[in-house]
Amino acid sequence: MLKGKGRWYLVIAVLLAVALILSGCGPNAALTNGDKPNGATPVDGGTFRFGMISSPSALEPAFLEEINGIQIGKELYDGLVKYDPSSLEVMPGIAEKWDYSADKKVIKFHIRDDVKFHDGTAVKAQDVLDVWNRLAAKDTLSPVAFPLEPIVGFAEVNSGEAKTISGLKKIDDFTIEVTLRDKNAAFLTSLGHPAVSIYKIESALKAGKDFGRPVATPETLIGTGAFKFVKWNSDQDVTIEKFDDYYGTKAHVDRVVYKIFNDESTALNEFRAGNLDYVDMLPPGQRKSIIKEFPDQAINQTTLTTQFIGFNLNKAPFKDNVNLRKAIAYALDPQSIIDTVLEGDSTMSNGPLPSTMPGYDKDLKAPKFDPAKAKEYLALAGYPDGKGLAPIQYAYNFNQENQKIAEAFQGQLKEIGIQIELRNMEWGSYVKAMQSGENQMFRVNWVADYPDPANFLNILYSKSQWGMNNVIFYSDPVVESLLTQGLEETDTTQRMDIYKRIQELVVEDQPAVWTFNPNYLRLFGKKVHDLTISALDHKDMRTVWLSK
Amino acid sequence: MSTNSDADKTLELYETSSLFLEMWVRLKRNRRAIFGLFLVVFLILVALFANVIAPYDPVQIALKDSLKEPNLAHLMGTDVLGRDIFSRIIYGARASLIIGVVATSISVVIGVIIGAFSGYYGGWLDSLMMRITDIFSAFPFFLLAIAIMTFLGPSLLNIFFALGIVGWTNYARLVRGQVILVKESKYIEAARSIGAKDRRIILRHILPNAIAPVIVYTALNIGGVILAEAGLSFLGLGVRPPAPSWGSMLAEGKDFIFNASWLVVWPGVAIFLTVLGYNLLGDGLRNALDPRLNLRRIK
Repeated sequence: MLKGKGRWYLVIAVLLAVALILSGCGPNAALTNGDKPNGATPVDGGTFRFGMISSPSALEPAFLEEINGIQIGKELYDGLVKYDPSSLEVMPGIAEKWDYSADKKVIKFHIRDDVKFHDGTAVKAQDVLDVWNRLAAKDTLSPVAFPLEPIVGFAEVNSGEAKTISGLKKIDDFTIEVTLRDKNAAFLTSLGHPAVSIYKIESALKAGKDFGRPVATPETLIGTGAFKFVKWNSDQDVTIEKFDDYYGTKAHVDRVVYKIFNDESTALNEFRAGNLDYVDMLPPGQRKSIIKEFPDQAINQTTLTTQFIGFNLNKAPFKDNVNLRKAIAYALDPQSIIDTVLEGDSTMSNGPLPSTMPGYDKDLKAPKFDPAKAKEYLALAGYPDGKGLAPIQYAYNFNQENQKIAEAFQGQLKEIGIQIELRNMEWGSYVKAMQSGENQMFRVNWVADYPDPANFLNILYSKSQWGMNNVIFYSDPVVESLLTQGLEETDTTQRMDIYKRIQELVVEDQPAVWTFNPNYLRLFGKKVHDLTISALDHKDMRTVWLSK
Repeated sequence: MSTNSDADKTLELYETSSLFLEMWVRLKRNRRAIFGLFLVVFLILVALFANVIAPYDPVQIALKDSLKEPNLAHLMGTDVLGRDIFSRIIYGARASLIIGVVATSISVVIGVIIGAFSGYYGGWLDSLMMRITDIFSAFPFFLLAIAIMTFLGPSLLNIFFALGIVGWTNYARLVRGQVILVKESKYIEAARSIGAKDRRIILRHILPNAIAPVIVYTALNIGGVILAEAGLSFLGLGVRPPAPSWGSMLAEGKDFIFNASWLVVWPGVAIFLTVLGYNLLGDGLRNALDPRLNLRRIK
């Protein structure tokens, strides 16, 4: 499915998640001591103190695009569907069931009749329609309206020509009918993104610009989730509280306080002092000593993220020179970088999809570090030992980690005679340079919005996304038609086969060198049980409990 | 002061000496200044002979040697990419010195020209130039440098430009003040009365007599410029990587401060000694050139 504007995220800005309609095998989740067989019975009560690095930018669903906003937002608001916190499978949310028409283009959602807003009023079909129309509206300027894009009439609302999405109908108070332009196997999964979750629109409109901002009050910010909003002290903390009338399984903890820190070291010190039950990010460079310090309190999750080196296929020297691209792929040794610079905090990537993504093919034959082969390909490319090849620019957004990785790449490529010039850029100009195609070679980090291979393949390798998210300017007619088929195929096995074929073709073309699947190390307190962290990097506050 | 017998003696001693000889005699008496001078000369030698002294290529990565503690093969240890810290420190001295000298020279040239014209001609030219100076100095020095570097991107030439262009205002003010002071002197009047041209008056008579504070300020300022370069590199806006710079070495090492402290200690020591050297030398020069002690002028 297409997304509006190009949206690229930093590692910390991980986006959202969703479920798999399709596949029984969801991505794995990391679980704290709760997964021990003799886990104790959950105890209710207590305040969970969550150490969060950097403030959420907004708590309004239409602006839930970075991980901290999503982290809190997904507790405050429920959507029609939600993800299983560990497997990321699609589960019923506000909609208890849904059925497809014969041509799979029309979906009827049946809404539960016992769903309540946090102010006690009932949630009805019209609320869903209103919220979605507002999300799609031009004036809302939402960067995350993409889950609704496949619906008939979305484009008209998004461009301001219409007020309501024509493919969205209310049948009765508890039934909604959604008509899609084309069959879309990823649509339901993408509905797990909190951007499309439901809140009380009357109070939101009353609050206007204050909705979901630090000045929000429990009277204006009214959601449907298992927790309700209490307060947001700008740059200090956000407090949410268990909602007793929640329709689903109620949370164990009474409150969650998200304490906001500007740097990881301060948060870690607070954790050491016993003032936090969980800390979200750890200072770089200290991973090994931290594991030693808290041996049974670390949790590690591989995320739905792939980091790769993109080649600009529209520009020399990579245009029409697959051998040069292969030479670079064989010359790089990502594992040595994982062991040193990344302190083991990543796994090697073997292709376009992260290993936790459905449709991932572990047998893909992407080039592995082999200097002899690299030299062979370099000669085939017309640059024996690098002779005649002008220095290539490698662009990346500046931070210490990216810089060190870039320097390591530079050193490894020098070994076979390829000279790289490093170009470190500030985030805004880096994204602009990528999208306008002015770079030759650059770092890309793609974080899943929802757990479906379409969220990687159809976005990064389709010609329709040139200059937006397809910044390597890849296009291949066979791949293009397979991408369309992949979106339309509703049989999971066949669909995943299509995506496997796409991966093989893309790997053969080598438009990129896929390097790392990042994972993150997190710490939790000794009293914390059943804390689940999904591959979308969501920490589930609805299942966690604290022992006395 | 002219009745002071010590001063009389010194006066005798200086009668035939040049400004610089005079300065040197005074400087020699100041032990701290000599220590500063020693540090500065040492830095210059290290920078000049970096390729002879450094045992390794400063940009050669060797991931298998990542984060080695200081040992005989790597006197100051290695960084996370396995590069030899000692070699990087040595080459970093070269970068610091070049940037310090070139950027300061740019500031001096711009500042002296603007200050001299402003001070000598006065009037609307003075007002205009001083308002321009005010505009430049209204921006905090370091923030303006950051803004320029963000705009231009990291490279050595851009650092020269950024630090040179933000640093000249103080020189302009200093020189203008001195020129105004000096141009009222009798000897300038004399020069003018025998028909000397403006250019000759400025270059031969005014500037040499106004330059002492500039020398002092320059010596003090080079340390500041080197520190600013380290600051820019620390923020990723300095020398283009992987070229070694003390500031970027500090930034690279800061994450490892608890488990590989040698990454930050050595560049820290290097910056400290360099800035200390220039400051002690500058202080010494100020004492040596203090106009109130300038016995020639008393005469």
